[in-house]
Amino acid sequence: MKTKLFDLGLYKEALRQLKVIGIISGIIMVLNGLLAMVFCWIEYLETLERLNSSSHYEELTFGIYEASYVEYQFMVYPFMLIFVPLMVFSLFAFMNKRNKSDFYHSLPHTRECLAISYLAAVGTWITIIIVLSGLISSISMATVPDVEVLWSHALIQMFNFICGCILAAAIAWLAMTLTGTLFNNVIVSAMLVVIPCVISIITCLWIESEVPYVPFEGVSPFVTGAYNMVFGFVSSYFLDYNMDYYLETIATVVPGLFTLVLAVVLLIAALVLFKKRKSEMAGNSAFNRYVQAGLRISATMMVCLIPTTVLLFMFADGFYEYYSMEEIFLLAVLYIIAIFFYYMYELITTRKVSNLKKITKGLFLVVALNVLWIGGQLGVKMYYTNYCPPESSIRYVQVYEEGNAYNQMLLENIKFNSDEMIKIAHDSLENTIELWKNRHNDDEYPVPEYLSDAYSYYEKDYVADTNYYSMSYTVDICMQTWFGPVYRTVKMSNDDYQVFIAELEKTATFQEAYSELPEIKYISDLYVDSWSSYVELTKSQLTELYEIYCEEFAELDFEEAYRILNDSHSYELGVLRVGIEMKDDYYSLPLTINLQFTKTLNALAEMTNQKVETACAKEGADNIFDLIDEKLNDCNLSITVLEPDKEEHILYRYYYDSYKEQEMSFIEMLSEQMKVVPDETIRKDSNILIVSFYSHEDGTEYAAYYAVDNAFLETFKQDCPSILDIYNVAL
Amino acid sequence: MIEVKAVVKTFDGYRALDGVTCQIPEGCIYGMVGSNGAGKSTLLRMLAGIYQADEGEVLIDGKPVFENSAAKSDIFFVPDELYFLHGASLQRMAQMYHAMYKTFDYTRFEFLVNSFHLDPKKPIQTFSKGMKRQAAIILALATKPKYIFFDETFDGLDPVMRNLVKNLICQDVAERKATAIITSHSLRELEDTCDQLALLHKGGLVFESDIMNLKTSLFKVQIAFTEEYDKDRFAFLDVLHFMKRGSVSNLIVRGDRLETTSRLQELEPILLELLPLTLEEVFTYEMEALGYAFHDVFMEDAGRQEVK
Repeated sequence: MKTKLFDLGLYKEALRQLKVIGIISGIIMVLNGLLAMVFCWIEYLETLERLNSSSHYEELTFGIYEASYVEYQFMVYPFMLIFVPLMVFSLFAFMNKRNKSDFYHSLPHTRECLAISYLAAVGTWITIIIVLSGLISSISMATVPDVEVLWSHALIQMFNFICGCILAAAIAWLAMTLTGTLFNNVIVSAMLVVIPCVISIITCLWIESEVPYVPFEGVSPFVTGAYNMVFGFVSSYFLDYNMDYYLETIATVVPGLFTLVLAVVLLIAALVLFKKRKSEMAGNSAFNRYVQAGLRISATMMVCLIPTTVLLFMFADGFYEYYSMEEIFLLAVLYIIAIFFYYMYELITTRKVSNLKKITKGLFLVVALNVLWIGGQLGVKMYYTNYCPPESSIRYVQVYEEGNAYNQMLLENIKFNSDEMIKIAHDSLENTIELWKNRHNDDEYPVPEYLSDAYSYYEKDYVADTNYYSMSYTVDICMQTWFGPVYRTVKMSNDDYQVFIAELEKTATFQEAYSELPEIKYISDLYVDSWSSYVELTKSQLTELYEIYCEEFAELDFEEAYRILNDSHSYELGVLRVGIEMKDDYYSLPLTINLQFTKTLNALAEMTNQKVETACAKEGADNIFDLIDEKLNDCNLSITVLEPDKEEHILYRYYYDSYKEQEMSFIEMLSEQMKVVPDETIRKDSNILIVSFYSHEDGTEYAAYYAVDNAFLETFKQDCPSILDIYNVAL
Repeated sequence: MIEVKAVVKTFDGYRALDGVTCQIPEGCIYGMVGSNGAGKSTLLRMLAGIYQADEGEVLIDGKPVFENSAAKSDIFFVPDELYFLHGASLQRMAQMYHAMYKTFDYTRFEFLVNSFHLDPKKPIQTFSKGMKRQAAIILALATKPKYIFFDETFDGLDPVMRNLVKNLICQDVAERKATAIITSHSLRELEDTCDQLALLHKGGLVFESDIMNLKTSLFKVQIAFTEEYDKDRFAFLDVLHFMKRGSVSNLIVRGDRLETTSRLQELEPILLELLPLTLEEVFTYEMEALGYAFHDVFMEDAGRQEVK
């Protein structure tokens, strides 16, 4: 008769037994999602109130909050790390008590059948809870008007977390097959999660400190644990910059699949142990004395990681030429603690004092493992220091701009794979590796400052060459390896960088990224920043201005568009300060209004001048100078005129000085001259007049833009009673 | 049939079973008796497929029982330390057993619940010790297994319940040809119930026999003569024990009653009486014949006397 591997009766029984934990954790997960929705609604309503209030004109729209599953369903982490193991501990609790163990082993099923049926029940509850709570929370989040639920991400992450929970269950069950008391179950489960994490963290930190051109992402994801849904999350808390990397990684199904494979491997191992396990083992500290020794030594090695890490950094590169007594004493104390821990572990888990003598010889193994660990880490460092991948293995390069977050957002998903760029990046990496390996040989291989601060810290002498300086661009090279993509960080010399950027700017994908600006729905706040701080516009005016600007931006060629988004900005005609909310982040983007944006400029002029015209009509003034003539006693007044030139404009700026008599007559002169200035739209070749006025007496403020003729310009230049600020500006 | 062949079981160096061999036929009520630590529970657990023998084998109907779900589906084991699902009622446990055992009979379950006057919906953990045992027995009998093992189950039952359970077991054995194995450290409990009895001591099977055979084949003879006599006068009998006080002797004799009576009458005694023995007395003398002092093996209540 064929042995059954799965029994429906056992499965249903297990589902029933897990009902209480399942329902409680399910309710918590659903509540979490609903609460997140409630908070989003509260925030939406508060924003709505602010937008409707005239005192907050900067806030233009809500912006769009792209809701990521793990952000509104953050309870999935405690569910994975607490509730899932709790399910396993509760369902398989019979493994820890003799009478319960005998009961279950007397049932008419094989151990395989019992295990598989019960684990299937755990998997069912996990799937139901994550899918149900995920769907409920995602649907409820989608009801919030300014929230865009990333559905594909949500489904992928739900899948990944189901796999993560299955791995968490596998870890808990493996721990239970190895041990026989609840205390040991928990300790060993924690060890199975934490030990690989700690090893991964220490290795990554070690490499990152010793080999500056290997970023965290440059270490194989199998070492960092980034693909492991359980380890990756735990380690991300210890490597704070890993959290973004972790969140990016779990946006694909790869981590889920890898985690699932790992879970299956652990489950098979646990099943083999479960089958071999004797019912009478229930209540014992470990499967057998060898397993007990293994667990004890593993736990002790965790403690030993502290002194071994101290030793590693002491030996690194022979940096320490001598060892102080303090360091030796510290090491001795740390190792004494480790030995104490070794014996205490045995005492606490077995509660047999007689064992303490027997386990002493295990300490030799601990010593050997310490030596192996230090040697291994030094070997890993040597590998990463020396390994330069062949050019053919490089699939693409990615560029990360350290200064401008919006640019970085545009660039982050672009993979550049032109041969020239790959060659430059590869050659830079080769050069970097060579320099770093030989950095102590100062005469032959001077280390340029541009490499990094870390390099210079270790260096006694380096050649400070003006040809080399720290770049604003860091280039990440992605390499295709057997173990998946790995990265190197390369900083380039100025010459290489110029060539590299020239290649970068030729690529269609790069140009396309700069071809248009975000839609208005992503703009959360917006205002006009200019030399005149008195430009106040309404929300509808700002929206209109931005949309006109976007139209004109789309017509620009690549070089001009790139320059707008990257170069330093001239305030003279104004800058649109845009706040963008997209991709779960906020970006601040200054958009220069220059003479490429004449429609925008004219719209801005019309909006600002409207207030002046209304005031003029009311007070019977002919123009702005006439309007402000009566209020010159106590005011701030600046008059700027831009004279077009071939490449740059000449700017003349005049500040009114109320203490000088001739100043007032100058204003009167300008008023007269203004009367004869034809009413024209601002063109690229126009002289542009910008007036900025604020009265301290009554708080009146005006800002105005005009196109003026040459006669006005000459009057302004010649009759100005004060020294003008004159300089060239590129607009 | 259950076959146990030279089974050895060790726990952390302690030899709990040491080469035990026995055969338990179908349709009988087999009693296992022995002091604490004799190996009764261990043997029962091996028969139930919970433990695996370190040496030897345990076969049920010719097949090994360990990790054999087909064989185990014919077995129901009621342990000494009872276990029920946390917070479960009898109803809930019945539901579970119904899912596990195809032979579980709800009608029988309900009948038994009524017979024992237990509330099937009440959590079993609120029951007294005796009631919990009754609950376990109900579930066992409702399952209608071919082999049913009770490990010191009767210890917590009152005499009325004990009688009821005994009758139910006998009914099952008679009607379905079920086989029951009952362990106890009390001979008196097993005397009225079992067909066969085995005595375990320090992991070994010391003695095994049919009860009827035991009771009929061993008897006490009280005899007296006017003249002097000694034990040799009875050399033609299989005498396990001889004690003379004055002119009256008490003999424990194994053999046929009628034949023994006839042969003793030929000696023309002034007193000849054949008296039945209790099971305890039978065990005492049988073990003595095997070289075991009863008191060393068997801790009982204060009524027992040590036989030299």
